[in-house]
This record gives sequence, C-alpha cells and structure tokens, in this order.
Amino acid sequence: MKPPESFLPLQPAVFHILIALADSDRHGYAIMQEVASRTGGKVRLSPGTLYGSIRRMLEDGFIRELDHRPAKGDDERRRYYRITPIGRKVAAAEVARMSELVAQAQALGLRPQGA
Amino acid sequence: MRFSRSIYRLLLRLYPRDFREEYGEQMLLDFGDYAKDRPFAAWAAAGRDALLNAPGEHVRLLAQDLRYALRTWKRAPALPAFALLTLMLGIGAVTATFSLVRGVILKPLPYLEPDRLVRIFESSEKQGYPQFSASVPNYLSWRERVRSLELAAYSGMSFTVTGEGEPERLEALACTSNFAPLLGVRMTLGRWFTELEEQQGHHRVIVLSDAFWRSRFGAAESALGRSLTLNGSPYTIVGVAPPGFRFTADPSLWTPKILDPGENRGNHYITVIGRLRPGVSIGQARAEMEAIAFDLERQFPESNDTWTTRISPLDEWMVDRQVRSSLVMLLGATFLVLLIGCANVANLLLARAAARESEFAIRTALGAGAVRLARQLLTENTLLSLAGGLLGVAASWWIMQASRRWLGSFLPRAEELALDKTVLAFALGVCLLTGLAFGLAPAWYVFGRPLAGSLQRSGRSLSLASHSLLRRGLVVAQISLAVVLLIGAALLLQSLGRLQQVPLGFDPDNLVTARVALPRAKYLGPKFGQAAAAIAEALRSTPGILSASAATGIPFSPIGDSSMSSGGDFADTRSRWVEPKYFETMLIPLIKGRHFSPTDRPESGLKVILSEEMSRRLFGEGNPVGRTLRADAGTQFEVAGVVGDVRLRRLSEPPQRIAYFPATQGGSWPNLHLVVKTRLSSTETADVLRRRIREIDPHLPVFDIAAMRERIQDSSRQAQLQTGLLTGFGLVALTLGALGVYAVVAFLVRSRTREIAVRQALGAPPRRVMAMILGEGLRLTLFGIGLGLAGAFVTTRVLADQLFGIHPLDTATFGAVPLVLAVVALVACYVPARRAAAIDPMSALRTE
Repeated sequence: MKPPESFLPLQPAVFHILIALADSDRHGYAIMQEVASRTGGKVRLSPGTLYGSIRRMLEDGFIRELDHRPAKGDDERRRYYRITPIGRKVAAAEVARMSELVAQAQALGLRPQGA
Repeated sequence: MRFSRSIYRLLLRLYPRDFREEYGEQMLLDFGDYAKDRPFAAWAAAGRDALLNAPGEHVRLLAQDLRYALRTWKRAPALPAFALLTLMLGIGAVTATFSLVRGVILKPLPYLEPDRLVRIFESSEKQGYPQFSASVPNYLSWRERVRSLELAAYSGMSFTVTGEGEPERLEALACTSNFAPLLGVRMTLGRWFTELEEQQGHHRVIVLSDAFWRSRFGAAESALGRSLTLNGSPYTIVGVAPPGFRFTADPSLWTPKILDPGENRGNHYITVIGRLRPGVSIGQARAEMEAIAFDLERQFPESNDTWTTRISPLDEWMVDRQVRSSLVMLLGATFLVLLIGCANVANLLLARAAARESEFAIRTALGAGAVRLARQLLTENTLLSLAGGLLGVAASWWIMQASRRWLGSFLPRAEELALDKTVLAFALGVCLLTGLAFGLAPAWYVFGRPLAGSLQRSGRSLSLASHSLLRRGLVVAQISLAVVLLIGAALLLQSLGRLQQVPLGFDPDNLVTARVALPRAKYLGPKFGQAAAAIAEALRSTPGILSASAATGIPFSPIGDSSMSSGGDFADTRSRWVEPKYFETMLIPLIKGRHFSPTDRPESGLKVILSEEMSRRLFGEGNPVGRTLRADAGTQFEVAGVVGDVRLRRLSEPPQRIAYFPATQGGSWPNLHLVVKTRLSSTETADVLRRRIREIDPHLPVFDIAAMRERIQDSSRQAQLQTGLLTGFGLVALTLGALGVYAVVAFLVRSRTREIAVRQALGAPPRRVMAMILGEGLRLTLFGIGLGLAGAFVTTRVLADQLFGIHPLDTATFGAVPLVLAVVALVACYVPARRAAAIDPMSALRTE
C-alpha cells in the first residue's frame, strides 16, 4: 500500500468529495449538494468533474461503491459511495499538509482580512 | 424535461464508451436533479463538461493505452524494432522523394506570378530544331510588334577577372534591362540595370550574385560602387541579387545585354522569356507570336525560312518532361515500397494479434469491449507509425542534406529542396494513413474474433481460417508489388547498360579536357589560331602527355557546343575550329580524304572536314572530298575529309551534323577547349596544364579541368540515380516479400503441427510433408507473380520514354524476374518446410 502522503496534494474536487463523504454515505447528486452547501454555493461540481474524480478515487481505493442502498424511497438506479479507511487517511494527511501551510503563512503575518 | 435529458444524453456521447457505460446513467440522473434545482447552472456545467472533461477522459485513455503499448513492446522488442525500421525506410523514402517532387515540380517558381511567365523559342521542325534560341534581330522585331507579351532576353557569357590574385573565370548572364523587373525580382542591395545601360559605352556595370558577393566581398555592403576588372575593362558594381536568383545558369555576375540590330538574323543564341499581359491567355500569345514569325519569314526569307515560334510555360522549360516523369515514377516506386512495408508490418501484427488472443480474451472477460481492444491496437499502431515517421523524416532530412549538392549537378531547382511545411504535412498524412493501413488488419481481426470461447480453446481458434486468409492475401499483395518494382528496375538497369555501350565515336580513355579563356581583344583573328597552336604544341612536348590538341567545342562539354552557323550549306550545323592534331588525340576515325595540316593557311583556300552525318545529308553516299561548300556570307570552303560521328551531349541522342574548320585559318572564340591524351594522373595533368599555359601567357585562366570519362558519366547521372534507386527499392521489395512468405508459411506450419503429426503418424513420408508445405508457399507466390505481371504490364508504360534500346514489355525481363522471385520464395519456404518434415508425431500429439 502506498503511503497516504504520496497522493498529495489532492485535487480540490477530490478533497471536497472526501469531506462530503466523511460523515455519511451519499450518491452523486447528494455529494454535489453537500459540497455546494458546505461552501455556501461557491463550489459546484459538475457531473463530469464529479464522476471523473469518482472513477479515479475508486481506482486509488479512497472510496467504494455500496452494494446496498441506505436511503429508502429514492430512485433505485442511484449508486451510493462510502469513504474507505485509506480515503480517511489520505484526507487526514491533506488536512495536516494544509494546516502546516496555514500555520507557516500565519507565522509570517499572512492572515485573512479582518481576522 | 424529457427534451433536455435527450440533449444531455447526446452530450454524453462525447465521453469514451467505457466511461459512458459506467457513469452515463448516474450523470443523467444527477443532471436531471440539478436542472430541476438550478437549470441555468446545470446547463453551464454540462457545457463545461463537454468541452473539458470529455476530451480529458479520452486523453487519459490514450495515455493508458500508450503506457500499455510501451510495456508490451519492452517485453518483446523485436517486432516493434523491425516495424520501426521498415516504416523508417518506407516513410523516409517517400518523404525524401516527395520533397524532390515538390521542390522541382510542384512548387511555383520563386518569381512574381510565375504562372504568367513563358519561354519563347524559335522553332524549325523542318531543320530538326523544334525548340531553339532566338536571334537578336528577331527578338527586336518581336518586341516591337507583340502586344500580348512583355519580352526580355539574356545570353550567357564569361568574364576573366584580373587584378588581385590569380585570374579567375566567371560565368555571367547578359540580360536586357527589364529582365529582373519582368520576373519581379528585387535586388538585396543597390539596383538592377537601367535602359540607358543597354547602350554601348554605358554598359560597364554589373550586379553580383549572392554567392559571389559573399565569397569575394565577404557580404560587405561597401562592395557597392566598387569596380572589378573584367576582360581588361573596369565594371562598376551597382547591385547584389537575392540568394535564390540564379535562373538556370547560376551565374556569378549579371551585366546588361547590348542589343545590336545589325547582328546576323540567323544567329540563334539568346534566350527569350516573356510575361503574359493581364487577361491574355498563353494560346492568344502563341497565335500572335506565330503571326509575327510568319511575317518575318516572308520579310527575311534567307534567314527565317521555315522558322516560327513556340511558347511554353517557364516552369515546363526549366524542368523538362523527362525529369518530371522520372521523379513521378520514383515517387510511385517509393509508395510501392511503403505499401510492401505496410503489408509486412500488418502481417507481423496479425501474427502477434493471434499470439495475444488469450490476453484479449482475459481483457474481454474483465469487461473490455471489442471497441476498446480495437482502440488499444490502433493506438499502438499509430504510435508505431508516428515513431517510424519521425525517424523517416529525420532520415530523409539527412539524405537531402547529404545529396543536395550532388543532385544539383544534374537536377534543376535542386537548391530549392527543403523539408517545408507542405512536406512535413505530407509526411504526417503518410504516417497516419500507414498506421491505419497496417493497423486496421489486426483491429478487424479483433472484431471478427468470436468473443467468447477463446479462453477455453486449446490453442486453435475458430477465427484461424479467416485470419490466415487475410495474411495470405497480404503476402500475395507483397509479392505482386515486388514483381512490379523488380521488373521496372530490371528494365532501367538494362537500359543503362545499353546506354554505356553506345559507340561514342571517340576514345575517352586517358583523355583529360580543360578550358582556357582567350580574351577576344588580345587574340583576334589569326592570333587565336596561333595561340591555340602554341598551347597545343607546348603540351605535346611535355613528358607524359601522349597527344594534345584544342578545339572551340568538344563532346560532353556544354559550353561552346551551341555554336551554330546558319545559312548556306551550313544551316543547322554545329561548327567548331580545331587544331590539326584534334582527330588523332580524340581518336576520331578519318573516313575519307585527309586531316588538317599546319599548311592549311588562310591564303591556301579555306578547308572544312565534315562529320559522316553531315556528309550523308549533303552528298548522300557520294564522295564529298574536293567539293565546295558555301556559307551564308558567300564564303567558300573546300571539303578536305570526312570523319566519324561523335555523341555530343547525351548518349541517348543521335549524332548531329558537325563541320570542323582548321584553327590555322582563323576564327575567334572566347573559349578554347583543350584535349590531352595523357599517361599522367588527372591531378598531375592539371598541374602540367596550368604550368605550361602560364609560361605562354600568365593572364590566361585555365579551368573546368576534368577527365572525359567523368564528363560522360555526368551526362547520364540522372539515369544512374533513377536506376540505382529503383534497383534498391526492388531489392528491398524482394527481401520484404521473401520475409513475408517465410513468416506466413512458418505460421502455417506451426498452426498445422497437429495435422502434420497425424499425417506422419498415418505413414506420410517426410518428403511428402515437405512438398505439401513448399506447394502451399509456391501457390501464394505464383498467385502474387500473376497479379504482379498484370500490374507491370500496365505500369511499365510510364517508363517508356526513359528507356533506351529496350521495350517496356521486354519478354526476357518479364520472364526472368518472376523466375528469380519464385526461386527466392521457394528458398524462404524451405526452412519452415524442413521444420514441418522434422516434426516428431508422438511428441507433437502429446503436447496437444
């Protein structure tokens, strides 16, 4: 197994999808909605970007497709995805990488306006 | 809603099929929800996906296929290496030949509106000169009368530069003042001539060629206004011509042409070009010029009788028909070689595809469709053809660099050869087509293959029959193409051989020739003959030189050979003044009468010696010795003798009429050719020549020293190149064809091991097995030969006007080439046939 750090830095779409799947299994459109609501509508994944990323994340083993369908009453054709332990490790590594970067920037006096 | 879903479904088609099959439905669902929530944003996202993400997925797939291909090749590098080599040769040859065809034929001449430019000839079919130079008075008459054309003219001349260092001999073109403006050529530096400078007294100005400007003045702008001493007089440099401006002669200098209306109207020596005026067609110009020529013929019957004009586009004149057809033929031949190469590579790839069957089966089981596998194969093959093409273009560039100078010595416009955008685009097109050509076969094979069942089969597949049919078809095609190429090459080889056996009419062995420039001002009238005699005498008395003489024109030297006296008994005759020992030195046989002798003085009655052809024309079979001939000015010459005919310019041209006059009786020519029969090497001879002539007059430049054998070789270089290339192509074709037969027969043996083993177990002797396999190979070969003969029957016609002394459908050639091919193919079959005969039935059946 490759170390999680070898996948860094993650593409923004991939990172967003991992965050969206962190607390719950979701299908494609639910991921799109989750990302949009978390970012206040600033980031909206298109279906093309979403499934291009999903294909790669499946290949790399960050997520997997569920055999059963957790939600009832929605379209039976929907596929649900779940984050894997590897996916969590990689996401955590990305978080660590980013925090370190943020800490370094703040130490140099780079802070958001008004903070 | 349903409508927008249909549109989105269409957009999904932009994605690679396997991606679409995997995620298309999900994307459609998500898009439906998205479009319900935020229709505007959903469509914007769909558009962005179509433009960016869909192509991205294709690129990813391509990269994946490329990585896969490279991995496969690394595991078994022999096949891709062989394919690359074949493609490099094929594409390289096609590209190099195409760049020749483009540079020499297709590219317009580097002048303003080149399709409006024409060359105007004087023409007399009756006298055997369908296309000839013009005379100055005729040119002046045309210029005065013609409305449809603007005319310009030039003639060749040479200068001796003196002053600093050794005297140097320079070729120049004397041009009318409108020559460069008519072509639309602008000087790099300074200016071209003015009309005033066409007048005697104002004419001592020159324009330098780019090459001469660089070599003599180091490309210094200060050369302008300086003066050069040419033939003893100072000439002022007024301009420098652009690098591409060399016309057909590649002169070092350009100078104004003085047009003297008082010149002999029958003296044809200037080249006339013209530009069609706006709205005028070449047909209209022809009609007008012919009408003018008709008037002139009636007005000046003594010089213009039977002479009319002929007009051809300038580019057709600069690159003649023979060069064109020869290049097009070569391009066709290289395409055949490439086709054969493609068939070979296709064959190998098919064999490989068969070997990869289980790999494909596994991938199919893992969900890859036939499209996906075909795509993989096509990617591999295109990569192969592009890499081969890249190597091929590099090879052709190298070939062109190496051969440009050599080609330039016999091919017009060779200096314009370049790997320009058009050639590169052509090469790319050829690569892609090639990739398709040999890549389609295996891809087709993947489609034709039964998708299921390959995994459990035991080494034999249902598709084998159709597969081997395809491979046999490819081999038949290869052999038939090889037959066409080999027959063409064999015809050209024999033609060249016959050309070398043409009797020259003189003995070129140990004969060295050179030129000396005798300035007219210093060596006028009798002084010319005296100088020639002194030089020849000095050479004859040199140890190591067996015989030496001089003449104003010699065979296989273009300069001075166009001298032609006109009118009287000497109409359309090449005339030359020769030193007494000329015929003995050249070993031209005396047929009747006597040679010239030093006692033939101006006061002892003018003498002439005729070539056989001329004697036959004037006197039939009668004896001309002692008879009198009249020149147009009324001068009379007594025939002293008749000598054998000689070939003048090309071995394939029939002998022409020649009149020889004794140099001791006058004649004044700027050029003197020396002929030396020598026991020395050519460098020693060159040294001796320079030394002896310097002793006579240190200001005389000696130049153009070459062995006669070389000059004769030069005259058939084009034929040699063509023959050499076609022979090379033929041999490559033969090798590839033999390899193809071998590969297919070997494959047959391998795939029929079981059958052969059974036969042997049932008592078939090894000899029968061998005969069966050989028969199989021979059947393919004979089929290919039959097709090839039919092809050659049609295509050798193209060669007709390039063959000398052999018919394009020569029976011996059409019989021998197939025989050779059949033998080679049999040899190629022999190895696998022997392997078949050696199969041990028991062990073969056990491994099954």
